[in-house]
Amino acid sequence: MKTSAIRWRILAAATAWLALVAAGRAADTVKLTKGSLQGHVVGMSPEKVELETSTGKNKEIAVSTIKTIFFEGEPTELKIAKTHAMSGHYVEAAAALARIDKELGRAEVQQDMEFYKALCAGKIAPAAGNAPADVVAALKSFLDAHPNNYHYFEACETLGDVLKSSGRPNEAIGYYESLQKAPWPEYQMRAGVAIGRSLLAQGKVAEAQKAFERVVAVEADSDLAQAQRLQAQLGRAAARVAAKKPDDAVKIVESILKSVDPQEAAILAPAYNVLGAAHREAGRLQEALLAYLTVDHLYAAVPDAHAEALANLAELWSQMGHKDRAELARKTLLEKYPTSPWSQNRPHQ
Amino acid sequence: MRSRQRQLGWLLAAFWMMWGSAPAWTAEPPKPKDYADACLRGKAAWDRLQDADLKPEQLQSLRREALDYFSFAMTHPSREAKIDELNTLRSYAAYLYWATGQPYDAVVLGEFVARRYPAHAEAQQSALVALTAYAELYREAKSAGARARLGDRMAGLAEFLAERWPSTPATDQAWMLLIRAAIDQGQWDRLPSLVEHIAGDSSRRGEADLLAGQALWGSYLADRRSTSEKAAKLAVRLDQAKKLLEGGLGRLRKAAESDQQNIAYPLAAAALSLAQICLEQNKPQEAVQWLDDKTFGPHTLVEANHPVTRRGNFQLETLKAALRAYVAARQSDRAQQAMQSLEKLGGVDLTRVYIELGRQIEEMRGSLKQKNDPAAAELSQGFAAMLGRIAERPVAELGLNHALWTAGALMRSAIDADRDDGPPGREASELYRKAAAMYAAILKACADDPKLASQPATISGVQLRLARCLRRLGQYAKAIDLLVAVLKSRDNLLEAQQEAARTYQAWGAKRPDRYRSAIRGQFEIRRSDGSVDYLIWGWGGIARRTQSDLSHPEVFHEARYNLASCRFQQAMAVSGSQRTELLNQARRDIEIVRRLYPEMGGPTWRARYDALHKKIQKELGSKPQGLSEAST
Repeated sequence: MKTSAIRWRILAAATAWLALVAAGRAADTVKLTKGSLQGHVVGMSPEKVELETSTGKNKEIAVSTIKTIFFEGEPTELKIAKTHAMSGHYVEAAAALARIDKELGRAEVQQDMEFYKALCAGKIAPAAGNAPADVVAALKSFLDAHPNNYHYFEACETLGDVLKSSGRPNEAIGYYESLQKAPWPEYQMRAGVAIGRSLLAQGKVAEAQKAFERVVAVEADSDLAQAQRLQAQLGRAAARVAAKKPDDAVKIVESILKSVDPQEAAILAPAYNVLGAAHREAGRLQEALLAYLTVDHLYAAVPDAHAEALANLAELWSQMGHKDRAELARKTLLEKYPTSPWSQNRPHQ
Repeated sequence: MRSRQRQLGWLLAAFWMMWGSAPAWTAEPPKPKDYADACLRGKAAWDRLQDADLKPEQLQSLRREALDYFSFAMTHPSREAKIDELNTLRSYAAYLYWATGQPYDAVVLGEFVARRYPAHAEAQQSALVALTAYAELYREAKSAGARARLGDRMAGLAEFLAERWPSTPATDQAWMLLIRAAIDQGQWDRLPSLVEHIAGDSSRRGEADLLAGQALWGSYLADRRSTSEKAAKLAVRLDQAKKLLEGGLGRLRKAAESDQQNIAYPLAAAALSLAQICLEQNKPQEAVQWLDDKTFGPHTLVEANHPVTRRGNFQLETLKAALRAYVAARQSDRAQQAMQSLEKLGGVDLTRVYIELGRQIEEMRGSLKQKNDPAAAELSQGFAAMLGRIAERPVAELGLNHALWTAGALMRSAIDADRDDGPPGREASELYRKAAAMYAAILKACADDPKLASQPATISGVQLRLARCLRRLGQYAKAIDLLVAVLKSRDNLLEAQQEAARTYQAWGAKRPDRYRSAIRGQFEIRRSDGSVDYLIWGWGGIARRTQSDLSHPEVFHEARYNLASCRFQQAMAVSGSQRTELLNQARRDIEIVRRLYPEMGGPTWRARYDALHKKIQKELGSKPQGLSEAST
C-alpha cells in the first residue's frame, strides 16, 4: 500500500515536470476573446490558426475568437504594441512599433509587425494626419503578400475603412465583400454594415437600405452580432435621412439610444450624428445642435464621429448666429482632424 | 535675488488680498498637466465659487476657470477615471455652462447625467440645470414650432424628474419652469393640469396657482376682443383662472394673515384679478367680497395706504374695480367713496377712466337685460349716478366722442327708466334732462369750435337726439325748432320726420290741434308747379312715401297706425258728428291697411291695429270686435 502511494507520487511529479518542459518549449500564446491558449503556431489561414499544444496534439482555433497572438521570441515592444492595439490605443501602439529596431527572425512575427504598422496607420489615419495613400498602399501590400495570414479579414476591413473615409467608398466595397466571405455571421454582418455605409456614401440609398436590412435579418445572437445589428439599424436611419424621411430616422435612432449603455461610444457617437442629421434635414436646427453637441461633449473619443459632429456644429452655430462658437468648432476640427474629409468639406459616411 | 523674489511674492499676495482676485495680467490660470491636475484645479475654483462675497467679475472669471479645467478633464479622462467621477464633472460643467451663458451645452450635459445616470448624486440637480437651460433656449427660440418642440422636451424632462424624485423642491421647481414656458407659449389649456403636478401641500403650489391664474386671466382679456376665440371656450378659461386664483389665495392666506404688514404684491394683485373676474362674470357681490377682504383685499389695502398698493397702476385699477363693483352691487355710499378716492388720485385721466367704467357697466347691464335679470334695473341706478358724474365735466375736457357716448348712455338709461306710454317718471325725467343738457352742451361746443364736429351728420344726429329728450320732457316747441333746423338741410331724413310726427302727436295731448300737424304735416312749401307740400311730412306723408318701399315696412306701419291713432285722439277731443266722422275716418284708415296689406305688418302691428280698432268700434257704439269685424 505504502509502495503504491510512493509510486503515485513519483508519477505525478514526473508528469508535472514534463508539462513544465513542454510549456517552456511551446511559448506562443494565443490571446482569445475568453482566456488564452499556449503552444506552437504551426499553421494559419484567414479562417483558423493551428496550434500544437503541450500534449503534442494540434488544435484548430477559429480566427474570430482570436484577439492576437504573442509569438515566442518577438520583441517586447511588439507585445506592448499588440496590447495597446487590442484596447484601441493605436497611437501608443504605433509608438511602440516605431521603437523596434532589431531583426525579427520568424516569418509570422515579421508579418505581424507589417500588419500592426498598417493597422495602426489605418486606424489613426482619419485622426492624425497620416497620408491615406501610404496607408492604403501598406495595407494592400500586406494583403497581397500574405493572403493566408490570420489578420487577412481584419486587414480587408481596415483597408475598406481607410478607402471609405478618404472618399473612395466604391473601392472600399470590394474589400468589405472579401470580409463578407468570412465563415462567421458576425463578420458577415460587420461587412454588410460597412457595405451599406459605402453605398450610402455614394448616394445609393435604396441599395444601402437593402444592405442594412439584410444585416438586421441575420439570425445570430452573440453580443457581437447584436452590436452589428444596432449598427445596421443606425445605417437604416442614415438611409432614411438620405431618403428625406428624417422623422423615420429619428424614431429608429431614439430606440437605439434607449437600448444602449451610455458608455457604448462606438454606437452612440454615430447614432447622435445620425440624429443630428435627421433633425437638420427636418429643419430642426436646435435639436440638431443638441445632438451634435452630445458627440462633442461626450463621445469625442470616436474620431470620425467627432469630426463629423464638429463640422456640423460649425455650420449650425453659424446658421444660428453664434459666429464665435462656429469659429471655435471649425478651429477644433482643423486642429484635431486636419486630414479628415470633414475638415476639407468632403464629408463621407 | 531670492529675497527679492520672496518680497515680490508678498507684495502680490497683499495685492490679491486687497482686491480679492488676481489682476488681469496674472489671472490666466495655469494649464493643467493631466486629468487629475485638471480635476483638482477645477474643484478648487468650484469651491472658491461658493464664497458669497465674490464680485460679479470675480464670479465670472472663476466660473470660466472652473469650466476650462472641467472641460479639460472631461476630454482627457485617465484610464482609471470612474464613471461616477466623470458624471460629477459633467454635472458641475452643466451648471457652469448655464451660468456662463451657454445653455445648449448645459442641456446636453445636464440631461445626459440626469437621464443616463439617475442614481448619481448630482442627477437631480443636473436635470434642474438642464431644464433651466431649456427654458432659456425656449425664450430665445425664434419660431413657434421651435418653441413647441422645446416645450415638449422640457415637459418630458420635468415628467422624468417628477417620476424619479416625486414631490421634491427640485421637481416643483421643474414644474414651475414648465408653467412659465407654457405661459410664454400661450398654451393656456395646459396650465391647470401642469399646476396639478405640484402637490397641494407643496410650498410652491400657491405660487403656481397664482402664476397660472393670472396668466389665464390676462389671456382671457386679450382674447376677449378677438372674434376667433369662442365664447364658451373663453368662459371655461375664465372659470379656470378664478379657480386657480382662489386656490392660490386659499393656500397662502394663513401665511399672509400672520404677517399682514408684508403682504406680497402677487397676493394683492391676485385678489384684484379675482374681483375683476367676478365683475366680468356679473357677480358684483362676490367682487366686493374680494375687494374688501380683510387680509389681502385690494380696496382694503388701498384704503389703508399699504405700501404694496403703490406699485404700478394698482391703486387706480383697484378703485376702478371697486367703483364698478359697488355700483353693480348697489352700494352707493361705497361707490361715492370710491369715486372720491379716484378723483383724489393724482396723474389719472379721470375722463377716460369714467368712460371705460361706464362702458363696462353698460355692457354688464346689457347682458343682465338679455337674461331678463331684475338686477339690470337696479344696476341702472348706480350707473346713472356715475354718468351724472361724467356729465359734469366740460365737453372740451371729455372730447366729442366721449361726450357723445355719455349723452347717449344717459339717454339710453332714460329710455330704460321710461317704461310706460304716459309722461316719464321722476327718474326718467331726470335722466332725459341730463342727456338734454349734455346734448345742448355738445351743440354749443360745436358751434364755438366748428372743427370739433367735422361731419354735418354729427350735428344733425345730436339735434335729433336732443329733440327726442325735449319731447319726453314736454318741451315740444323747442323740439320742433330743432327738427325744423335739421329738416331744412336734410328734408328726406326719415328719422327726423318720424321724430317730428311723434312730437306733434305727443303735443296733441295738450293741444289737440297739433294732431292735425301730426297727421298732415306742418310748414307749408309751395312748389314751382303750384302744388303744396310740407317741410314736416306728418304720419300721412311718411306713410305715403314709404308704402311702396319694402325696405321700411316698420316705418310705414308705425306711420299708418299713428295716423289712425291721431285721428282717434282728435275725435276724442271733439264731440257730436265731428267726432263720429273722425272716428269713422280712423276706422277707414285701419281698414285700408288691412285691404292693401292683409298681414298688417306682422303679429305685433296687427295686434296694435286690432286694439285701436276695438277702441274706435266701442266709441262708435259698435261691438268691439276689432279686425275680425272688418274682415266679415
